[in-house]
Amino acid sequence: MSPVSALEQVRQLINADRLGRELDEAHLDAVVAVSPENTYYLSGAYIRTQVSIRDRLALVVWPRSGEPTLIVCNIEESLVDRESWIKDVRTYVEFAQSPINLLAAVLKERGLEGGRIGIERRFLTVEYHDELIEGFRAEFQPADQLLERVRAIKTPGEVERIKHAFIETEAAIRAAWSETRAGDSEKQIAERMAAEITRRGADAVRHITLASGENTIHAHRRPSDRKLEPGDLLLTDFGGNWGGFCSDMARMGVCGEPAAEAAVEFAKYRAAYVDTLQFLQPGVSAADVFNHCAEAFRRLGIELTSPHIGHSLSRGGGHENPILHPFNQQPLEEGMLIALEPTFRSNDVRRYHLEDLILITRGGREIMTDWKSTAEMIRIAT
Amino acid sequence: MIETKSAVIDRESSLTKARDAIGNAGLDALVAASPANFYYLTGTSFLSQRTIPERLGAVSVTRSGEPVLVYCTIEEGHARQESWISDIRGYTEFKDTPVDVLAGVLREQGVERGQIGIEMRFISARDYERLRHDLPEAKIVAADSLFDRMRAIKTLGEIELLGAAALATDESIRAAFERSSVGVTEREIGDIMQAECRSRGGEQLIHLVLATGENGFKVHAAPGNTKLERGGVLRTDFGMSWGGRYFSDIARTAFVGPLQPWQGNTYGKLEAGHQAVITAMRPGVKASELFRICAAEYERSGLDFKMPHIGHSIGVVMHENPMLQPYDDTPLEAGMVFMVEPGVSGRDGFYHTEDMILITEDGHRVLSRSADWSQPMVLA
Repeated sequence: MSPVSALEQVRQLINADRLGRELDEAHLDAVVAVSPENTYYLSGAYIRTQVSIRDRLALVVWPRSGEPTLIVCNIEESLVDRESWIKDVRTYVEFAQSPINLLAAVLKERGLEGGRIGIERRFLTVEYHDELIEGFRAEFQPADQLLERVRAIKTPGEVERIKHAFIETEAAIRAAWSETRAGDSEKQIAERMAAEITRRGADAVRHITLASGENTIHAHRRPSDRKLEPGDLLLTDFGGNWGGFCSDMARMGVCGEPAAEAAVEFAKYRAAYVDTLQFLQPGVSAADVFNHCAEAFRRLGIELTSPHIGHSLSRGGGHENPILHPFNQQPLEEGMLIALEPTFRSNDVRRYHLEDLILITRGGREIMTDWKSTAEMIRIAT
Repeated sequence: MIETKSAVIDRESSLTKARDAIGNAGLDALVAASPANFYYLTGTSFLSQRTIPERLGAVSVTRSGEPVLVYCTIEEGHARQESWISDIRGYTEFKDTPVDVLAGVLREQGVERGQIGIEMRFISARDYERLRHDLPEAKIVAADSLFDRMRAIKTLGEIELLGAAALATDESIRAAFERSSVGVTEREIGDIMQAECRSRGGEQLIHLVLATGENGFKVHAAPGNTKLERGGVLRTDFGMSWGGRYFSDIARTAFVGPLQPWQGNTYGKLEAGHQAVITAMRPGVKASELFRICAAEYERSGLDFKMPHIGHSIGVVMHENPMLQPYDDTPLEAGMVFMVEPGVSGRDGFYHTEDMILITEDGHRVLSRSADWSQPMVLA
């Protein structure tokens, strides 16, 4: 594979048709991407420091017609030369020149003065935002939701890569837990999972929450020195990063035999979970899914305890719309990916959590992860 | 697990620093929302503050009275058990607008007509507009640099933790390099480094740049399947998290061997530039002066100087202020912790070295060298 075709593949991961239509409908002359997820989406370059160093902006100017421009700190020039398909790359020297200043120059050069330009108001900090509106005369419009709608419909290449990340993540969890015994600490288990996920090709762990026994009640518990005991539930919400494509998956285990009460609670929780999985389809709204799930929980005599029960996701791995919460009327559409993850906290000692990846298809859904294997909690040796 | 003799941070000293800053800047309230500053004032932060920045967590500290913490109810257990703030207010995501809840707290604290410092380099344009709408009579000002200054002088516990983490990271790199030879892939070396680091108490991988061959020209290259070759260069820039919220960040360059003449030459000059900076580090010297010392040494030895900064402070954020860059005139003070990291493009890739330096009353101390890196390391 020549480097040219590799970059062409990167370009084809973008849903450019939808972006064009959205710009037309919003009467925007251009949109400026600034968040890590959008810059990565449009440029194909995964700039790690954009996440860790918030001031070091990397931007894409995407005009309605013509070629896009990528603006990055000169430190990242060699990386974007190799990873981005965008040919027009401009660099600024950090501390010497403001990235917003360079952005204004590019917008001017593109004849966008006085035009309508979409920006990410949910991401741009007050300081940069003020510098932009004071430094360049244009009609700036929030474009956060527009970009989200574009990213929400996945291209086939994106689906394939995200699915791969999830499948490898599940394999890493199962491999690490098969080596786990009562007496191992949460930290030891987490280390094993991290080693397994990188062995399966992840660049890094994106997030790991791991909790056993009474620690399971916390939503985002960091692994502790607590040692696993027979009868403990083990819960993880775990994700890795494959060149910017991220997984986000929850699985449950039990050390030895579960207590009778826990076995019953898990069976109810999973029944409601599967009921909700099978309700996912084009045309129903995010709120419909949430309400359906809450009702399924109620029918089984348990209470849904999370304010949202799932979300879309894409490159970069953050939660994206449609987020499945009761106030979101956005309909599900063919081509969306959903990570479904309702949780159930039964009391002060136990919480239940599963998370799978689902592609919304024309006829309904395709569950991309091995959801059938969650009929039983993963058994851990005593 | 790294045990420290002193508390890493504690309620008393954090809130005292915050109130001193409020007094000195003539503020009525100081609001932290970024994970780093929120942690500094509350003793905790939420994983989701980093992964889902829209899920606001904030704390408001006033001149007197109890600080108030605002959190998303999903994070209830963390807010209740891990923070030293007792007055906590939860909001329900999607139902409540988090900024409105924060504004209600500020009104309760009686500062709705006062001067409120927020993080203009963190708060989004949208949230800021909402806050101004909610509190039309308040004067909302930038407080980013107040937080920077608060965090720049490390506590004894922070110094212990950061120093131990840096040293362990350096040992891990050295150990992985010692086990590397022709034919080993970048990814295999990276795996060994991570395992070594975890065995010393490292928690999550934060960044792992590791490159050889053609990849060596990319400053931030992820490890892949490229194998070490005879005469090649091996470079890494590697960091993990420690004690939950602190970072390590060490860069090293080594050579597969036999050492080529230009390799030893470039490495020696890089090390000389590095040492020129370190030698000059003591209280009173400005960050910008150190940058110029590095540039001058590069020029003297004939290296191409292209870096916009040559180092940074480190703590709960990987790059903190003061930064060693030409426009930062902050004078160094005892208790600051810096990463000095000059680099240069050589004829066979980028060369990079990075060390942790603690500023002491009478000078500095290098905290990150577990072995002698003054001479180029040649793999066996």
